[in-house]
Amino acid sequence: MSSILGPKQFQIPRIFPRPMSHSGIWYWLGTVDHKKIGTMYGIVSFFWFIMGGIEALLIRVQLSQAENDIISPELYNQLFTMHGTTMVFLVVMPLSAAFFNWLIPLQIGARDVAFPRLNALSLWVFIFGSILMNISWFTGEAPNGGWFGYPPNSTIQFNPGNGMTFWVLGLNVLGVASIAAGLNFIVTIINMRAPGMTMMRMPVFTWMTFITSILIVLALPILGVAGIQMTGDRVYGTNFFNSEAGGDPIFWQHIFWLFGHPEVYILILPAMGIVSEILPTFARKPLFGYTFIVFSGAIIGFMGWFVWSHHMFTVGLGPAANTAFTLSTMLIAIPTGVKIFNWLATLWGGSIKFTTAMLFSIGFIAMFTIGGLSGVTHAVSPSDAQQQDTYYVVAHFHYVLFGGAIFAIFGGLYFWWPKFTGYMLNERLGILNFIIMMIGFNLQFAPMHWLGLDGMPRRIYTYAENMGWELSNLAATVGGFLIAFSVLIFIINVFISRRNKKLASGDPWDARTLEWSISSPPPHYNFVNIPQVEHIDDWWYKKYPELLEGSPKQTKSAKATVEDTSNVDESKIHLPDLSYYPLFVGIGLSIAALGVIYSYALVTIGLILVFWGCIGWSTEPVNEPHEKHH
Amino acid sequence: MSNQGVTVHHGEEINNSTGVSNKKLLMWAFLGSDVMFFGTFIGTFMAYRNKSLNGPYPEDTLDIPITSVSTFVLLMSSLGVVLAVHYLKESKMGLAKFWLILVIIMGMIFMGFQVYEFTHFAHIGMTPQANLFGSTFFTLTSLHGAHVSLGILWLIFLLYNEYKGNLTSENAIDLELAGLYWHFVDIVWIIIFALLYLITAGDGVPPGGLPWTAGH
Amino acid sequence: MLSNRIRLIFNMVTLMLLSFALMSCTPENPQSTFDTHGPISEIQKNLFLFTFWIAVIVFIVVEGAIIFVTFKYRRKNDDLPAQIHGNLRLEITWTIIPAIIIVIIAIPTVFGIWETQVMPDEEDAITINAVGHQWWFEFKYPSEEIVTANELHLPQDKNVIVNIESQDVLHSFWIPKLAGKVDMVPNHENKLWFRADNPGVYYGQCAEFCGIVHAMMRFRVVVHTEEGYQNWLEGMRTPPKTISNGSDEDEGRKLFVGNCSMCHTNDSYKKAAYHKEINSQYNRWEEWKKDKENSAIVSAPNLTHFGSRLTVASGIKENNYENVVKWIENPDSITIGTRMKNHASIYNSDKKLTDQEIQQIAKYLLSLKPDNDSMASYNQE
Repeated sequence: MSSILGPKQFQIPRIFPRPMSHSGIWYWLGTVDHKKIGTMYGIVSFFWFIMGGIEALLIRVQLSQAENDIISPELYNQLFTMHGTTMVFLVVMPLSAAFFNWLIPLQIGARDVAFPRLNALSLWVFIFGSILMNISWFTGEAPNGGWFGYPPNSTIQFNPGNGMTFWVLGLNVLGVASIAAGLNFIVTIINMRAPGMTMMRMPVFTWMTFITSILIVLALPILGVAGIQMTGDRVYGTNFFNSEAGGDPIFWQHIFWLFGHPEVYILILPAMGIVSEILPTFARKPLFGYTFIVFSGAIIGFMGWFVWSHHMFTVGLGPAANTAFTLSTMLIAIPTGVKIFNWLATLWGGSIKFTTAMLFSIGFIAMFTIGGLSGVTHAVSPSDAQQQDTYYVVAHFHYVLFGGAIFAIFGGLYFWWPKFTGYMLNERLGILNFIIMMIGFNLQFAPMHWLGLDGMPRRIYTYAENMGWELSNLAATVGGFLIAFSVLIFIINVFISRRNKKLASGDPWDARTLEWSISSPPPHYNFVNIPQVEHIDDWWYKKYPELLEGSPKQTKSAKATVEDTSNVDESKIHLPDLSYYPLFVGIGLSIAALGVIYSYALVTIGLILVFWGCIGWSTEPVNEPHEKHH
Repeated sequence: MSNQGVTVHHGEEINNSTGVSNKKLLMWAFLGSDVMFFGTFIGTFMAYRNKSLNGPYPEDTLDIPITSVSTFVLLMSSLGVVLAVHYLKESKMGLAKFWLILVIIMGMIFMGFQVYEFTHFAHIGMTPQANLFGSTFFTLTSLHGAHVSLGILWLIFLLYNEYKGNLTSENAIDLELAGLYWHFVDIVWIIIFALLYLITAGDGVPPGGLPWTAGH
Repeated sequence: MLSNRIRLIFNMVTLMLLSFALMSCTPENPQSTFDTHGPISEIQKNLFLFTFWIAVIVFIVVEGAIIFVTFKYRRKNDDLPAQIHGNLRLEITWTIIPAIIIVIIAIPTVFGIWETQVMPDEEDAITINAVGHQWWFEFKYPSEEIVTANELHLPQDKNVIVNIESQDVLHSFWIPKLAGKVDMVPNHENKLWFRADNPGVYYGQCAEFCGIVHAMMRFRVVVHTEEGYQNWLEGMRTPPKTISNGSDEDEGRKLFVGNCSMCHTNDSYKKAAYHKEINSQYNRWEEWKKDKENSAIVSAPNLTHFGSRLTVASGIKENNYENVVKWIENPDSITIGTRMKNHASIYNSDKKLTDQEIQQIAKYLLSLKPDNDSMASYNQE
């Protein structure tokens, strides 16, 4: 919430002076600049990507041969629980948020998001929430009930200790971060668009962010409720999922998947948006059927609410419910198919340049197609009775979430890296990164299809020798290490790019949307002049006005060039000042959550921090009135 | 193209695509989110209705007349908020403050009733731990109470600013947003009152026992 | 660049083909969903294959198009390609085509759902109650009043209705070669039906994550001929072979009564033992719930005619002398985290057993089989 601006503005006494510098640690802690926030989202979630990857590798090492005993069953259960939770909530969602933060204001021609401090709050709540959840590793009680937390196995009756309490409280804190970010981006996209940018002129990535944000805002509260109920059960002795008091384990599954299926689209729609930006750029063709892509995205987002029980085909819902959810699940394949065909048609007849970003995007289509098709075989609920809870499901959703979301995110990183940092990544290493990741990915997950159909259940820490699963598991383990190697190449690439300082121009790819019309990296105020938007892919048509139908070959004005910032009078720039209150609210929230486990004193301290932060925040002027322009 | 003299501002004055203020959009979007929050709790309550394995049951605990009074007070406070916003917009500060104070008092009365009700329930053995009815009832009503309390704090903060002269007809939107929130919390209470009290009040021992315990 | 791409695609395809080829010629696949032995798994497999081949066609079209496009339309010069924004007719076409494919898949699917999930007539079927426990399966035959654990015996060519329930957490009842899984949920009674066409031994495994021993919660299904099934039933109602006084087996019996019998019943061949066992199992459960940390009593598999079983430790190890000794000596050496290890007084108090006593118990347990052991032929294999 923005402050009440009045002449006699009341402010609560500051404990620390408002940070004013534009560099150094205090700047990063107090920043409200969407680009800096995006960068921090990216760095932190990439760290968790590596952590989640290490967890995955340990799982793969344990499964590489039959009756292996490198990892104990206790640790194994913790590893797969935290791998899933980390990859969904600490990697794919915040990595997408990193892209939202960086790109949405740039793509819609705004100077920042609608609520810069709320944005900082999302970041800090996310960071401290992720730490909260992972503290459990150090107390020796990491969550061990699966990322889905099915009761009664996750209840205090069958899972004593603090592990799943950490998990559920961590999810609730992270949910606050996601909802705050979702609200912020909904308002930003609805209200902060540059003049002339109608909804149907927005870049597809912005559209997918918009739909994702709506899904986040509507779906995360459901998880929040499930989390509150489970916290109540575990800490305060309520009975929601206590089967001995009549609580219904299936009820948890309903609410978890009512959240969980929209969540799947929260994970994949941003990836689809990224790909929809990269493909036209390197094919030098407009996106084929913009309207169809946008609407199929919206339809996917909508229909995602009516398919949750396909995660529960085997819990005994009865043939009628299974039929209904089978059909609704199959229907969702149609808009997904439309997108794939539209992407292919975008490439068709294009002039394709195979940059790393483009390879990842094409890889996305290829792999996502496989994931989508295996998804259709899941929708066939009678045969899903064989596939449910086997490695076939593991294969399916890794094709969607790794071959889909992560491939697209890597494509996005290679694509926008010059915009983010001002430096080019090495393309040669990039292509190597892609090839090894592609091979490793398929080597890891393709055999899992077979494993599942051959009867290997999920979440088992070992398997017997005579089952015929050894070779496929070994292949998967090798594939896992290849993926790790390819990620290492990416990290090396980043460091090489830092050292070589191959400067990027504002528009190195001859791209299409507004973020490329400004210098790389963008100035902190983004646009010198807020652009006047006339078309989809406005920047492209400003560069190639002759492409517009009915326009004369020679247009009046010269072709547009990247905005020049050399003459900007910095003294006339008014951007929101830094604020440390979001940081303290973020810390306070996590301390309070930790207190639910350990002591009410911590809860009190946390809530005082939150309260003080909120009051300070709402009485703090956006800009210090006495301040001279920096 | 010269960029000399360009003034760079962040804020609504440059980009405002819909004409609605950002704050108001934020509040509406937040309320949409909150609908899902309460909706899930209400759904839980209805799914677990008549599923408690032991008492106390609703018929032993709920007291409709008393809760009707607090419901009436809360609903009336919505009218108060409307008037407070109205007079603030017309710069009739005296009336604006009067109504705002009244709303805050009515909110506090409602909370007082809830505190009374909770202690009474706890006294007769109806706790969140007692059974499914207790768990679902208390989480929903106490989180609604938390919403009301937050609303009261917000209104007190705004009242303080009215006295300080910071909240005037020019930024009446700030009170309007609080009012929007207040109305929402009231509407949720109407639903809670209808479902948790009026419909449920007669529920006793589940008819025929639980479906899955019948055969054991 | 081009050669990179060719190599990449080539590598991918060969790797996938190679891995599939290698995988499909492993000798034993006891949980393969393709090697079906009954109508339910057959329907499930056929539906899968039907969808799979349609998916293969779509796969070839899409991936083929990707490969074609990447070769045909790579950038050759700096000219802008034709700027096509879309084509409504084409887009409607590829909206309708998936819709038609979906309809084609949906029709047999819906039939499949009703065929597999509507229970057959109870009169022509045998009914079994399967109960999931952490971490073993209890099988009850209410009409025969027989109870056993971790080994389900069925006649061939007879419809079987399984009432599926759980005592504690979620489990899942799954025999890949006979029928897809149905979850075992506390407070819910789920049903599954299937029929086994061929006699033989089939593998079952818990498929829903149920805690630390989840990976080791397995069972076997033994499908007999009608005659063999009747023999087995008969065997389950007769006392085991008598053991001579003073033998190792007899010593083992005494030790069993003293150390094991509060949790393990082994005399359910007796008349009226069925309801007694249900009650005892319930009481053990209640007893354990009172003090989950320190209770010396916990629900445990019925061991009646244990000697004729194929496996020990819920389907993990072959049921032979060494394995039974190993299991009693230290369950952790086979499965980490079992309730037996955590609760039985022989591991958690001074009442530790000597090696000799363990061997005597093992011998006693293996002697528990009826005279006309219907499982003799299997055990010899």
